[in-house]
Amino acid sequence: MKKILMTAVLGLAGLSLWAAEITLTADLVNPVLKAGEKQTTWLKVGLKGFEWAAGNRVPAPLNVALVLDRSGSMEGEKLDRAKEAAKMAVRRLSDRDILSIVTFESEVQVLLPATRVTDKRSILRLIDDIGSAGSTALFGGVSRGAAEARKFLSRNGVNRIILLSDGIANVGPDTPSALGDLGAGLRREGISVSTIGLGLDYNEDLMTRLAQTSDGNHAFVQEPRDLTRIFDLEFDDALAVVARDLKLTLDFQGGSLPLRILNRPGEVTGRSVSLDLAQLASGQEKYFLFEVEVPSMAPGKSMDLVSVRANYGNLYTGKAGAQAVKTSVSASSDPVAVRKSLRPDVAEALGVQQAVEAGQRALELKDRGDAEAAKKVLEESAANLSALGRALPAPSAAVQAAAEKATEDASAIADDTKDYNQLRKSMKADQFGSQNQQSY
Amino acid sequence: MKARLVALFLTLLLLPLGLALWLGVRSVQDGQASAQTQARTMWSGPVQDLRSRVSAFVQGVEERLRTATAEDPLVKTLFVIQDGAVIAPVRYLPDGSRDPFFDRTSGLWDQRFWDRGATEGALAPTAGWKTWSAAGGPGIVFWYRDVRDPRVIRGVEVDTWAFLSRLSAELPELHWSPAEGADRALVLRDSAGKVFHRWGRWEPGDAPALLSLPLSPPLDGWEFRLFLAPAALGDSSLQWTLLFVLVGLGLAGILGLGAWIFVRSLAASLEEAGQRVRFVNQVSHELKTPLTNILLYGELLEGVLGPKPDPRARDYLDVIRGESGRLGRLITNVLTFARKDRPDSPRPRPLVWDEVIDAGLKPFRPGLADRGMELIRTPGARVEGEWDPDWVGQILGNLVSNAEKYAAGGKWLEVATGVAEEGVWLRISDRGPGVPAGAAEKVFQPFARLDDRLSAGASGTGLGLGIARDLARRHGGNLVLEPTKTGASFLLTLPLKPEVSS
Repeated sequence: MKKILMTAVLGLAGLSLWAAEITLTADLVNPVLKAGEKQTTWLKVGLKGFEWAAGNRVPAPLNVALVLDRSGSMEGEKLDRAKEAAKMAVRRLSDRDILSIVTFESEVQVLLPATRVTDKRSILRLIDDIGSAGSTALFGGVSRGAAEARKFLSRNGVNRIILLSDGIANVGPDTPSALGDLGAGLRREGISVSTIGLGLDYNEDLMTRLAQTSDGNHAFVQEPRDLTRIFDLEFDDALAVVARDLKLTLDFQGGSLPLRILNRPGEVTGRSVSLDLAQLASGQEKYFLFEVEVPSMAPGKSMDLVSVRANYGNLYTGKAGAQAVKTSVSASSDPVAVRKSLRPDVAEALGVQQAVEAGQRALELKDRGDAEAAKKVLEESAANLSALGRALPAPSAAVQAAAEKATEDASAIADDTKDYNQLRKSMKADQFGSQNQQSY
Repeated sequence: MKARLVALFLTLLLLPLGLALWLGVRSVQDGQASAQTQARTMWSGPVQDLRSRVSAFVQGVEERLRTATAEDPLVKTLFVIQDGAVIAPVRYLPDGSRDPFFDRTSGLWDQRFWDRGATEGALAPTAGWKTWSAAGGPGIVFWYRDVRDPRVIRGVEVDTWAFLSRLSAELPELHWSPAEGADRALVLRDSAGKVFHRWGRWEPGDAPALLSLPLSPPLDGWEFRLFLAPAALGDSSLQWTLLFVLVGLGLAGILGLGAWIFVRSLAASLEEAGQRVRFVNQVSHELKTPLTNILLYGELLEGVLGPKPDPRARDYLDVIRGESGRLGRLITNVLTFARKDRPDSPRPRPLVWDEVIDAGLKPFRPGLADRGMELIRTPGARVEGEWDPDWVGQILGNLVSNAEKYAAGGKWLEVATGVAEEGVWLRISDRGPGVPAGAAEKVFQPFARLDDRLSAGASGTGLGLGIARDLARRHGGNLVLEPTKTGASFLLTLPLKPEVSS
């Protein structure tokens, strides 16, 4: 029955000339630049996952390791809700998928070794029996989860660790940089770690760093009752992955030079830039913003600026996919022509990412104790966003939301009556989500 | 004498008990030490197994790294050294910047680590690990000599955290029950002393490790450490409890015996004291009759002497009368104190307060005059009331004798009376040395004499003031020492009519 349905879907797809490949774009914020001077501008390189027949999951199997904190602090509602969320996750998986469950406190236990999800009932029973005790061996838990995921590591599927923790790692390596390096290593193996911070006691620097370096997601869940919803969204994301191991290569030409990437840590050296992206979900757009130095051009002249290639594993076709696109830039001495060339979608993305950067700077300032300076940075950010909103030809919901958020954060960050710990966690999570275009 | 006996007794008993305690502690400690040795023997096997497991893991990694490509997740960088110089990777990237590998490994090249351990004539090592501390955390390198060309060293800069993560996942679960996990802890500590992995939930605090096993490179400085809670060490708590119960019983026995002996000796001395009191009472009682006779015959002698006797005879008679009176008061006080001859309640009859006092003072006048004390009588209470004249006489007598004894040096005694709202009062003030602050209550205690210097030359039983106050209170009034700047001043207050209680 399933097979017939699948054939039908494929047939329909073929009929509508539906291309199961990702879309690669590369656009300058102003394709027309002012003539006669060297200047810097912004290039947005976007990757968009093809839409998979709505409502159905992508056929790629999922290899997921749930790594659950069951330290003493999880006792009560937190653990109950975590178990509920884990059980919901089990119900969403099919017998094509691999699941392992690792729990950790002072020790690390493999509750369920990596196995096909065939006997859901006994897995649910295992989850029911989880109890809480002890400290937080977070590094050991993630390492064991990785070892389980490694057993069924798939190049044609999604390998993911979902880490839920409510506390500070206090057994084993515990620094953001150690966990960040661990995440980077896991990504090289094709494993992403999504980190879910529960409550107000976890280390958000460590959790976002681990997710960032491994290309996973991150969520701040203040109330245990939201866990099931977040798990649901996380599985939506994992089950919708259509491409993985994406490699972007940019070759800048005509004397142009990339200076930095706005929304991804790391340095840029030389005229050729490579970037990796672990996975792309159906319908999801992920983009990178490059600051580019463009040499002086004569009016009316046009040149090739950059050629971009994307190579990836297509989880639908099961084959390697490749896309390429070229972007050119031209010069004009007419300021109106320059202004008119503005690409609203690039400007919008730029506005959002600059706001993220301002937010990160504000947190650094506040961490150093300078609440007033932090507030000022956020207020400036809000003003910039409002100005951008007015400059755009059509109102942008994203820019407006970012402006409102910046205004809100500005008043909260200098308000001593507000809980900074809570604000910091929510700002970190929001920044992470915007920076990485997280699907939830 | 008695204190010395008690000390001797306690020493004789406590010494053996202490010895027994010491021996007991030693024996329990020996038991513990042997339990520790036993536990160490028992545990060294499993912990060594863990270490072997780590060694096997490291060996597996070595094998893997010998053939690893740059794509291997354990590999950060592959490098080649020829004739002591790094020939790959190239130091400078195409754009002219330095390869970050050289920044990361800057701490690695101070010594030719691949030649270390090679001595004259001996073969240079063919493979090895090297660890160093880099800015971004600990660095690990594995290197091996090229089989075909020994001048070439091939090396792998290992991804430290990928390596440690795999090590962490390699460590087995020990499946201890919650009860077992609660009283033991086995930890793997890194070279900085930080816990990398842990089994068991017991928190050893500063307790020494029962067992520690060091690991070999690249985990040099790392070690397994086993801690067992005392309860897990063959549980000596029962022996401790037994020892302390026994010692406690011994101690309780000694204390009980001591208490018994103390009570016995106390009872004996109380009995002895009672006998003495009874004897004094009898003697005092026997003295009363001859004294009465002396007084009686003294009066008879006065009558016989006629209207104009020799003045010396008069003086002698006064002395006889005065001293007899004094002796009488002494006897009365002793008997009163001993609760013999003392009625439990006063027997009041109608009297005038000033008259009672004047009558009571009369026998003292010659004695006071002899001592050169000026008696100032300030009457102010010609009121009628009901008092026991014998009691009032005794109170007054005791107060005046007290002044006579201790305040004669002041050469002055005032006896004032008056009427107060509740009744009558009597104040006797002298100009003697007074009573030191804080001793106001002490003067009323039986046998109290404030100090030897003060009472030097004064005689008495030390009972007078206490008896006086006791009588005053039982008469429904009170006797207090009033605070004064100089001398002493006693104030007696009595109601007009005592409430006679049955």
